[in-house]
Amino acid sequence: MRLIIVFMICSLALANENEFKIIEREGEIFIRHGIENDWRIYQASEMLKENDWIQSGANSSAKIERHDGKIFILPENTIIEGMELKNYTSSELLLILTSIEISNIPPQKGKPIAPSGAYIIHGNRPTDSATIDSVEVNQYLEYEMNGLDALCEQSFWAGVILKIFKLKKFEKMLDHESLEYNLLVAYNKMNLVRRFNEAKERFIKKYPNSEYIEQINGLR
Amino acid sequence: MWDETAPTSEILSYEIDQFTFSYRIGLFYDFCEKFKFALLIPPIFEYIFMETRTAPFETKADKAIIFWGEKSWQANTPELAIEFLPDRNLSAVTALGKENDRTFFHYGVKSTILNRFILAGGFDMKHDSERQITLGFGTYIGGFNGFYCFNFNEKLHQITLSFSPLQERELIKLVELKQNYEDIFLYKLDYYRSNEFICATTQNLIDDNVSINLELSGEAIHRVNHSYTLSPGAIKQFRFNLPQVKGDNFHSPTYCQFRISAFSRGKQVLERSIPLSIRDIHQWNGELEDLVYYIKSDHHDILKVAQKLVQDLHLYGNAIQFAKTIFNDISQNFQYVNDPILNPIDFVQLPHETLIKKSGDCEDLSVLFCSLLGAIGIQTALVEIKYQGREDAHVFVLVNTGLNPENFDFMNDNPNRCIFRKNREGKFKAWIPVELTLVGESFDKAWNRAAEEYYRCAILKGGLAQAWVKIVEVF
Repeated sequence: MRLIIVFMICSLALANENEFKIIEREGEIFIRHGIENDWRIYQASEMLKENDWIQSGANSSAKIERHDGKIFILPENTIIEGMELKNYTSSELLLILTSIEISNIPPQKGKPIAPSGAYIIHGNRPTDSATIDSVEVNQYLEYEMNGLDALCEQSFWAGVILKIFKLKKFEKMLDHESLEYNLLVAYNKMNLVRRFNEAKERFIKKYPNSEYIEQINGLR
Repeated sequence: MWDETAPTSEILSYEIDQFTFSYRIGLFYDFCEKFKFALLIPPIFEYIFMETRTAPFETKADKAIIFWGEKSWQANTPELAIEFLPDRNLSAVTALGKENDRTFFHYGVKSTILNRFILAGGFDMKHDSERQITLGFGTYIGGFNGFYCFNFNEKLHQITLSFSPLQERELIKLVELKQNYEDIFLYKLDYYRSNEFICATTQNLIDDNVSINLELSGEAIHRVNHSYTLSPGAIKQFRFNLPQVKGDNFHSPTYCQFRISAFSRGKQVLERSIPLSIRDIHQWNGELEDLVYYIKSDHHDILKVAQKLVQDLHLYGNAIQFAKTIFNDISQNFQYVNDPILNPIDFVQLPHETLIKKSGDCEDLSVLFCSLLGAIGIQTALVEIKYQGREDAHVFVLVNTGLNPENFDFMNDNPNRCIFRKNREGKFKAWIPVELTLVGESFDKAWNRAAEEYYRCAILKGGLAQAWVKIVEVF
């Protein structure tokens, strides 16, 4: 009787579509929950949610199981966010993408965004600090890009789109041509026709001599 | 199909030589402004009238006249008339009916002079007899219409009296009376002063000047009165802005009234009034866009407190440090207190009042926080989450740190604690959300709580796309 009850609880836990589980791992895997800053070592049988982060270090990897049984293999030196592994319908994904885009919209009322006025009060402006912490940013981007490659290779196309949306803020530091190509492929796979057509038009206009053009034309 | 309000008209026809009379009932339908239909029904008590003549017949608009020739009531069938009104003083009518098994047509025109007198003429046509020409004139007296006409072929005089009990001639038309706001909220007084709140358009339908009087009055406002004269046929639009209000602190809504009246030759021909309620300055209509009106970064108390709070921060202090310092002051010295439960609508304090009271709810504390940050030049925005299935909403603040994404150590700082929004140049800047209800807690906790809520509701659940999460800029 006791065994039956335990089985039922496990089934319910796995049925939650916002949850994931690491079923196999090599080396150390780090996680951080929600909006926590600190990474900590993953403990066996710990459930992960859509807003959790998973990071693998050098020579480490993990097998992550989604609620529907689909497996994602996390390679070494990779960062993945739970939401990137989730199974979305086209409309669910569109809702999130639209929300991200609305969130990005600049203030509308005609006044420019002043760099925080405190600098003005003190009669000084900060130096352009784009290069500060660039080592950390580069490492983070490298891990995120590894995550993007893994998502592409394993056909987690919604995750590819979400990851690229997340990385778009590092405009100066990324190879946009390959990112946008991946985005096009993912739109195509997720059947987001309108977004695909718009992105295709933008891509051809922006990179008329790109080596990807032939492949893009072959997509539809 | 038939207009329920259409009048029924009784017609009495009096023939000088035979002293016979008749009555008929008409049903009218205004198809559109230019066309009207009329259906004439034979009298019910047929035995009273052996043989008679019908008389000119007035439609609802007092503009159509239908002439009937000699006929026997026993042979009557319903007659159908169509009236065309190319002009408000001119109409043409055609009628079709059967009389003693003979098809009967009538064509007539009618003109109204000075909106009081009628001139009409027409001819009847039957398939086997000559055309009969009729001319007549008449006048309106109240709801009654007296008419005389003469049939030239038969040398027949006819006097007609018609009465339309529901018919009231329109002398002035209120083309539009648009009220932009039902309630006047005093926190946005400046807005009302630059945007009209009532728009009235009037048209004079009579051949005489009409004076129009517009008045806004009430105990809380200084009375305003405007008058103008409308010449015959003229249309005029008048826009009303809110006048000076006496004070801004009413404990209960106070009412005022907008009244429009029209006079012709000393007689009132139109009166319409709209009541308006004026809300206390603390009563908020619940729209997030309007909450911004409460943010007063230029108030001297706010400026003084904000500058005092950040004066000890070092030269290169960034917006996060300033936000933290101000939050900590609120967190340590203020209390979270809900709105009074009896208040029918949201109650919001002005930020300098919150400074004195040292307490408030999420809106009051958010308004104070935005005001203080605005006073030292830091840009903020308000976020509202209307939880699905719940009536209440929650408000917290976004603070523009002015920092680029490259400034963050993403390996060690969770990027989901920030919201990366573009500026006008299209460059991403990091904004941080802050939950003001966590008084007594640390800034990091207030930041984390708001960030978690924002990420969960606005992004993961698609709240921004579905508009149950809103961001409003504070300028």
